Amino acid sequence: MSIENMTPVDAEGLSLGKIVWGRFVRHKAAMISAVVLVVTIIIVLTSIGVGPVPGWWKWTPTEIDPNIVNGGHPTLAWDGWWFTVGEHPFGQDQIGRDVFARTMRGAQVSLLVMVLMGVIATFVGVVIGAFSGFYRGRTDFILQRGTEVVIAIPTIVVTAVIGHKYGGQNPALFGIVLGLLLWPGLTRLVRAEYLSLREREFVDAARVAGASDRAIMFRHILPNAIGVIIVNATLLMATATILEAALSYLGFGIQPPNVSLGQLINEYQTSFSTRPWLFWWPGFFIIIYALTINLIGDGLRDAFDPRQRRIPKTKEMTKKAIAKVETEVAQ
Amino acid sequence: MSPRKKTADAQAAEAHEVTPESVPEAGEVPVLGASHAVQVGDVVLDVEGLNVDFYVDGTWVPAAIDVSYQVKAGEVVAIVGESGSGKTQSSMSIIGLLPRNGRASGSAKLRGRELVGLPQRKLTSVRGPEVGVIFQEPMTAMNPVLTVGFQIVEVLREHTGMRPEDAKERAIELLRLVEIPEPERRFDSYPHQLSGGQRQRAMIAQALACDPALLFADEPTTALDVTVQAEILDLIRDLKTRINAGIVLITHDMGVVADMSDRIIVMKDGRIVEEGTSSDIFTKPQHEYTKALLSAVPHLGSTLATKDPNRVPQEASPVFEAKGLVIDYPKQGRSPAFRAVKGIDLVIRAGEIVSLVGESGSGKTTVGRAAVGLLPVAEGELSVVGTNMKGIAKHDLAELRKQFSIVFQDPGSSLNPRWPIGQSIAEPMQLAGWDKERRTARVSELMDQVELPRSFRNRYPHELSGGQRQRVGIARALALEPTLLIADEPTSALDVSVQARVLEIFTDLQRQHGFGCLFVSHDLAVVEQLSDRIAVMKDGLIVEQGTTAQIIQNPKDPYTQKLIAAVPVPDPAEQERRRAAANA
Repeated sequence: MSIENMTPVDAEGLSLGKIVWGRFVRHKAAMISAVVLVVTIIIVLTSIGVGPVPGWWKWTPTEIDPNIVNGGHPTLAWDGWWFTVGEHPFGQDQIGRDVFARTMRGAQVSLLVMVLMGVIATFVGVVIGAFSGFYRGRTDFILQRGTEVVIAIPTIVVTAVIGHKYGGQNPALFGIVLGLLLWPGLTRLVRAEYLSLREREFVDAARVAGASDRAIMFRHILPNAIGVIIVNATLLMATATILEAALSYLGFGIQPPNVSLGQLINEYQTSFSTRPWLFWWPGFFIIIYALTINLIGDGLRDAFDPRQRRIPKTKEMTKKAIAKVETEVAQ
Repeated sequence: MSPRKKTADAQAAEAHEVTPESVPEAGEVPVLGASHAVQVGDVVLDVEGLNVDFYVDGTWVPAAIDVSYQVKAGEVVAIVGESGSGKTQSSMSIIGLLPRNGRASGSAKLRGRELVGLPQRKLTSVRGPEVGVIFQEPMTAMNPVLTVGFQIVEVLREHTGMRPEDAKERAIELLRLVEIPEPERRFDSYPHQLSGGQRQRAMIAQALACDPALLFADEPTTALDVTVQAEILDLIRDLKTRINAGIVLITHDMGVVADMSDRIIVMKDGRIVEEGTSSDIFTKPQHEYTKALLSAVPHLGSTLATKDPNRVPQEASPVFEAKGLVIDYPKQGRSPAFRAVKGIDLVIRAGEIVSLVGESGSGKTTVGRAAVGLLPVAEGELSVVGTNMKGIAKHDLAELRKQFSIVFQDPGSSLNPRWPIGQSIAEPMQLAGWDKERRTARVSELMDQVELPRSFRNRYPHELSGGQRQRVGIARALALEPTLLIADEPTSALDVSVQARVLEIFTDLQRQHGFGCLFVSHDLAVVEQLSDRIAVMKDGLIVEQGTTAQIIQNPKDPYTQKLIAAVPVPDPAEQERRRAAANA
């Protein structure tokens, strides 16, 4: 006998999306993270504008304010009631550029790299994993050996070469290269999912109905593996943020005059003891990205996995039990 | 352990003085028979007003309500009910095996000792020495990396502090008690090295290890073949007289309990609806639900009179024709190729239902899978709807697939869990190139035919009950009006009463649509209801085939005779007569 049987059969039909959303909303850390991330992205995109579209912030990342306010210290302050923003809330660097504007630009570039990398790595990883797991045998052997070759390529070397050759001015190219290097982990997981799902009877049923291999792979099996894919794609994107920062810090990624979060830290490392705020803000945004995306990934994992059923707390259960007895007595 | 160990001998010496009322310590060394000091007729378990609730989605949902019964030593009490009736959870709550979100209240006294509300620490000294449990699936209930003998010895040493040599001796004795051949050798076997029946016997031996006063058997034969089931039931019946324990048998099948139980408790929706002696329940059922349960059990031989052997004309064209058919499972990794079907001849004519009956491993499912092109034909001939299946080209097979379909055993796994059922039913039509309007109309029509509300179209498989899911499976299989339908044990995953309904719908649809059908099943009573002819398979060969009446009434092959004799009949008197005949 199972607990599932006790829910009335006539309950309203819920799609998978609704079920997952319902569980995700209950995951507090993931919900808070999602809100923080969305607000951050909105600020990052609108403050200094994207491309030709101007933003609402008065400085641009490259503009030099000859008037060093407050010795370049951040003007962001707490006046007892609310924040006062001041002229340069995140401070100014040695030559008077506005650190807020620069951090925003860095965050934009990092976001672009992260999204591109996530999309490409997910796509390649899913397709190769799907073929590998579905066909097994020779196809699997060849694809998996190929995957091992990609794993063996040192990411730092490749990105250093790309950065050197193309001047590190092209964050899109950087994101694409990272995406093409980082898919193997996801491939392994997708392959494992396919290996087990292809043995399920609904695959046989689809085959007898006349479905082609492609239809089975992408219309039947893929929706069943979507949980694993979404979760790992988000976690991969969190990794990408940190990796981008690390590479740019080493001087292998985005190069000046272009700006990314890691590159900002690299650029200002000489002023560590004199102007520490030059590190705070890029570092703060790296943490925001990595932490929120990781927590969202965790929330999605819990939401997609029906085995991760939330066991209610004893206190909560007891409270309800007492309430039930009380209503019975009242009746 | 150690203080107990020291006093073990002393206690054993006193054991014969222990009065029935007092609870003996777990330290005594049990002797086969009645060392737990209960006499036949003593009340072992006294359940009074037991309630079990589960905390689901923020509310407490009752699983068992006000359950009261008594079990006496030397008696078998059967608790019968469908899945979800609370029969298992009410029993598991007594020995503290509820999931964390479960809660039990009321009273359950084991030889005078209250078990409800007892902390887990104390319950461990109850489970094993005083209460044994036999689970449904021995393959999962036993630890696969430990030998059978070790697992029994472990129980003995944990609870009695026996020396290892003594425990081993006792374990072998127990294996002999449950009639495992060569118990000395089997002692060192791993669970996967035993057959299903032997595994179940080993688990019974483990449950009996400390000579419990009460034995719970939770669907002990549901996972077993019918002949093995008969043997295990024989064993439990036999044990009832040899050990002095009360036995609680939990099952959904009225046929199983017919001659096993002294008293029967019928549960529905968490409540006991009827209780009485076995013969009373079977001959004079009072409650409507009990009557329905009884009538749902297929009686072997009850529909033979209505069979018309000429329902399908002899000259009807064959839709399935196998001659010397051989099917191999290809080599996979390190496991070598396996010949599952070793040369069979079988013909199904248009509009005819032919059943393929056999136990697990007989190759019957393999034949069905080869018929729909899921497995290649190795040797011999197989022609389906007039097309030769041997070495068939991919393109031809795709074309042919519009003319046959298959209903799988487990609808829970044969429907894509991420697709609404409407989409699943429509898939064959979509692949055949039907436009959306035509598909929608046909899906509605099919859902009416299998008696599912049209509004279910947008539901997902997990929102339906087992029976409803299987109806979806049937609707999908009939989508393109196939000429041949393969039904692979379509009802074996269903409760008996649900099975009856699904079979009824299936038979009606067959009469309407007139497709030829290969019905694969292990259950002769089910097969008899709907088939025109029966073929019996064993070890990859057909040992006997003929019309339904021939096979059921006058089986020639000894294996068929054994199969038929093993089918439980929901009638204690008949069952007794048959057992006597079998033993003679």
